[in-house]
Amino acid sequence: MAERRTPTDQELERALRALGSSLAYPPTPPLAAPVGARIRAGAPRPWLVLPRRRLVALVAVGLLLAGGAAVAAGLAIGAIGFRAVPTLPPGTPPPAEEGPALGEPTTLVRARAAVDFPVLVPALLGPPDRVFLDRGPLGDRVVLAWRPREGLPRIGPSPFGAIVMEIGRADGVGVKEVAFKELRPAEAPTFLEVDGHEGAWIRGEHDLVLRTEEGEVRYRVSGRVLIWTDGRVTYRLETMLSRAEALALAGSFR
Amino acid sequence: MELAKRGDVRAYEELVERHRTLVYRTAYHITGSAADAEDAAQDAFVKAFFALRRFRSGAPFRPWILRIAANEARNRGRSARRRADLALRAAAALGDASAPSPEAAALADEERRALAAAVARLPQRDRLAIACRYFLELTEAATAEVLGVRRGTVKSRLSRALARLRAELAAPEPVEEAPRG
Repeated sequence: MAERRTPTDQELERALRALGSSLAYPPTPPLAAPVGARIRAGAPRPWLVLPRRRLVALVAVGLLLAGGAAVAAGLAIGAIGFRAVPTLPPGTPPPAEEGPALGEPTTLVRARAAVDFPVLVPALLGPPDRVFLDRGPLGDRVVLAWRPREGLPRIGPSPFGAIVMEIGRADGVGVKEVAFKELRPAEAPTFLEVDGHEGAWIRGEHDLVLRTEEGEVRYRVSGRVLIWTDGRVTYRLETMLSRAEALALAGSFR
Repeated sequence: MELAKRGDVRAYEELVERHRTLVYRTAYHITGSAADAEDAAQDAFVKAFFALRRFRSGAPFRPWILRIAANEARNRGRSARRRADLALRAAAALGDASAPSPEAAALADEERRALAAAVARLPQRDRLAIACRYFLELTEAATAEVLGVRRGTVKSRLSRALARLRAELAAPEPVEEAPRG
C-alpha cells in the first residue's frame, strides 16, 4: 500500500473548510419566536440573570477537603452550616405536607412580592406545586416543593419529589447561619462548584436544623442535596436524583 | 442592537434570526445532540436578552452570544461531550449524499471521509477548535470565546490538532502498525 503524501497546513485548512461546508447539520430550529415568547412571558427580570447571578451548573471540581475534616472545620455554604455528629437523634420526622420546617403556605407571586431577593424556579421542573415562606430574623426563606412524578421519584417518606429552599440574607447583616446540617462522618459533603459559586453535594441521610420564627425546627433528610450560594442567596435542592441530574436542575434556575 | 438593548423584543427577535444558525451549530458541535443544541441555543438567547443591559455598546454581539451558548451547551450533560457530532460521523461513514457546495466538490469523496474520520477521532477539545475555526469559520477571537480560552491557546490547540490530523492522514491504512519485514 502506498504511503499518502503529507498535506501541507494550507491544504489541510482548505480541506477542513470544504469538509465543513459539506457537513449535514440538522436543520436549525426556529428560535426567534420561542425566544421572543419566553421574553414576553416575562421569564426572569433583567437583574436576575446578570452573569454573577447565573446559576448554571458546571462540572464538579471534586473534593476540596477530605469530607470529615471539612465538617469538623465547621464549614458552611452560605446560610447553611455543617456539623459533624456521631449519630443522628432517633425520631426526627421527615418533612410533612406542611409545617414550620417548610414555612407558611403561600403562592409564588406572594412569596416573590414578600422577599427582597429574586425567587428563582428550576425551569426543568416547571411551576412548583407548593410554595412556603418563612420570615426569620436572620433572613427570609422561600420553599418550593414539587410532588413526585415520572422522572422525579418521591423523597423517602416525604410527600414531595423535589424541595427547593432559597434563603436570602437580611439587609445590613453578613451571611448568618439560618440552617445547619448534622451529618455523620460517613455522609460528609463533597464540595463542588456551581457556576463558579461554592456548593456542596450530600448523598446520605442527615438532619436539617432550621432557625425559624418558631425556633429551631429539625427534619430528617433522606434525599440527596445540592447546596450552593451566590453570596446573597443560598439555594438548597433536595431530590432523589443523581448529582449530574441535580446539577442540570440547578442550571435551569431562572 | 440598540433597540434590543432598550427592551424592544421584536428587534431582538431579528437579532436572533440573524445569528441562530451559527449559535445552534456551535451548540451542536459541543453537545453532539440536536435536542440539547436547541435547548442550549434557546436558553442562551433568552439569557442574553436579559443581560443586554450590561453589554457594551459597539462590541460585537456574535462572540458574546456564542460564549453564552457554548456555556449553556457545555452544561447539557457531560456524557454528550464524548460523542463526536453526528454530522461528522455521518460524513466519515457515508460521505454526504446531499449536493456538495463548490468547495466541497473540490474535495474527493474518499478524502472527505478520511478527513472526517480523522477529525472525529481527535480529542473533544481539539475537535471543537477545528469545528469552530474551519467548519463554522469563526474568527480566532470568537473561537476563543466558545472554547473559553485565550487566543494564544486557540492557536496552540489548532496547531496541535492540525499536526495530529496530518500524521493520521499520512499514515497508511489501516492505522494500526503493520508488521514489518
